[in-house]
Amino acid sequence: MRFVTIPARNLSRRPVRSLLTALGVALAVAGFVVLTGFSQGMERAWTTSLIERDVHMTAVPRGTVEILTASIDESVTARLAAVDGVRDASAELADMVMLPSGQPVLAVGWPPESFLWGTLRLSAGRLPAAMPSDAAVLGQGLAGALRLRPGDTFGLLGMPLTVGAVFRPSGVINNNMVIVPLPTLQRLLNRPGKVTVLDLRLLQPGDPVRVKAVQARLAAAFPDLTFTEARSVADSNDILRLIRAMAWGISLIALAMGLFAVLNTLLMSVTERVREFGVLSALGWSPGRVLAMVMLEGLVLSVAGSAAGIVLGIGGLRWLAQAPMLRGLVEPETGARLLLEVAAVTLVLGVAGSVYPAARAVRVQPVDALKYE
Amino acid sequence: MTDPIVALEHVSRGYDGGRIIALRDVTLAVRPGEFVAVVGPSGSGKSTLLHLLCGLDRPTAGRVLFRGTEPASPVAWTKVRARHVGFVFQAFHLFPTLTALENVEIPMFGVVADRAARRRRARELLCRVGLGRRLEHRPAELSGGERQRVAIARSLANSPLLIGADEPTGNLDSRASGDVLDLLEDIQRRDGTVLILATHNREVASRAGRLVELGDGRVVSDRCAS
Repeated sequence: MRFVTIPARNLSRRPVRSLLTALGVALAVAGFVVLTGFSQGMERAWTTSLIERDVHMTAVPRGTVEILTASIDESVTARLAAVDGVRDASAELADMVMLPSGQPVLAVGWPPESFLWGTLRLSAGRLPAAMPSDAAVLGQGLAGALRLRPGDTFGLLGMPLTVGAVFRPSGVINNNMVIVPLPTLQRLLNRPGKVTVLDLRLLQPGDPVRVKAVQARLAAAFPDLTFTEARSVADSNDILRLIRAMAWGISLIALAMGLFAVLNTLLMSVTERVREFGVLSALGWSPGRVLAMVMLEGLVLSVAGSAAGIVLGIGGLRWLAQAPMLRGLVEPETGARLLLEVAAVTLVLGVAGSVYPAARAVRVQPVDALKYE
Repeated sequence: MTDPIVALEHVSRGYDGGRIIALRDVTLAVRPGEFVAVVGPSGSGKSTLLHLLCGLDRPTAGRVLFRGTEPASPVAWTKVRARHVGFVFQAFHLFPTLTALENVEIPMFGVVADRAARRRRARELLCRVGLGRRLEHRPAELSGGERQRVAIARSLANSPLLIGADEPTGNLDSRASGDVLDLLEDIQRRDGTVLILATHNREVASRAGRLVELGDGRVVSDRCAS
């Protein structure tokens, strides 16, 4: 018999109670996976949306919290492009809009001469040399959902647009995007001459020292703007930071409930088995061995619950990513980082939930077993 | 005369801050190979004396010496119990979720590192107590006599110097009681293990080579059985 057999058999003695406890842990871990995966997925979606467009740095007005409400004068673009170390700059106007079908999409406007057009990998149609004002390019996911192909027309904020091309991005945000010429979107959103963000390409994006130097020059020349490297855009976005903090906060509450489920079950179990702990002590089991047995019971419960919780959580995350209001905004993040976090959480639940019951079990003396004789 | 395995020197044991005295100023030595029966009426302190002799309890006054030295701490007493003391309870106290074989393996954790060796030893012991065909049975599937045999096999797991048995036949019918006592006696004779048995049953006690009689927490008589 292996040592681990003993705690496993102890848990099997009350299968319903053990199962319910594991289920409690599973729900807590599933909540953690959904919320954390949601926030991490959102961060990744935003970062990917910039990186795959070959944008190295973005500029928004200083103090901006919600990027979609930012407002910058379009004319700043040319001055940015003239800064030493900057290869290109492009204005970008973006806003969430509702299609007539009720689906929310990210509508984006790029100047006709922007380098951004050249970063699109087209899967259907082509980009004309001069984009007509009523032309639109759709992400493949959105085109598929709306069943639109090049040449088809659809309505955006009351204006009929013709699909010029469909592009195949790797990130979900770009996948559900409508791109139109900047003047068209400015007219539709009633924001003439204004944009929400400025996208920059640098001459030497792979050299961190030079990137920092360019960033410093830009900050000095444009004190009203904040410049952020594309790969760290998620870290500096207040909305994403808020979502991350809320995800962790709610997760912690769920995990605390899971912890108390383990604690409660083990405490009941230890109280019921006082006689057995006394017998084990009488038979020469050391306090350390008794402690290990009870803590293993906690770990078995939390590991089993966590395994189920991961499956539940990933399922929930995928469902959430497909929900109509969130489609295209969230990329379910279930990578190694999340699994490592779950493993750490499992360990904490198992250890923290069993340490007090185990300490009580250790205190039982051999004579306590004999009181029951 | 050989040195005692276990000795009590002016030992007293009180409870509730001294309001109840279970054992008063007892001095006693048990030597290798002895079969000692501790007898006396209910409340005379038999079980308390047995627990102190087997290291299950600590005295409130006096010293308990094991092979000439007083284990310094509870952990030291735990090691003594693990390696040198076996105990048989009146109510068997087997683990209900474990098989007979696994129950006998329990005391060997921390003493015998090799899993196969633990299993081999448990099988040998269960065969010795006549349960070679009941190895995989759980306690609920065994009779009272069989359960007590498993408990005896468990007490032998680490080849103890001393076996304590507290009313080992108290929950058994007369036939099973006879079998269990025969078994304990056989172990004591063949292995030379010290056997200390607490009982209120004079017939059971008559099998012992030495009778320690208690009354009101004191040793009333300590003599060789006739």
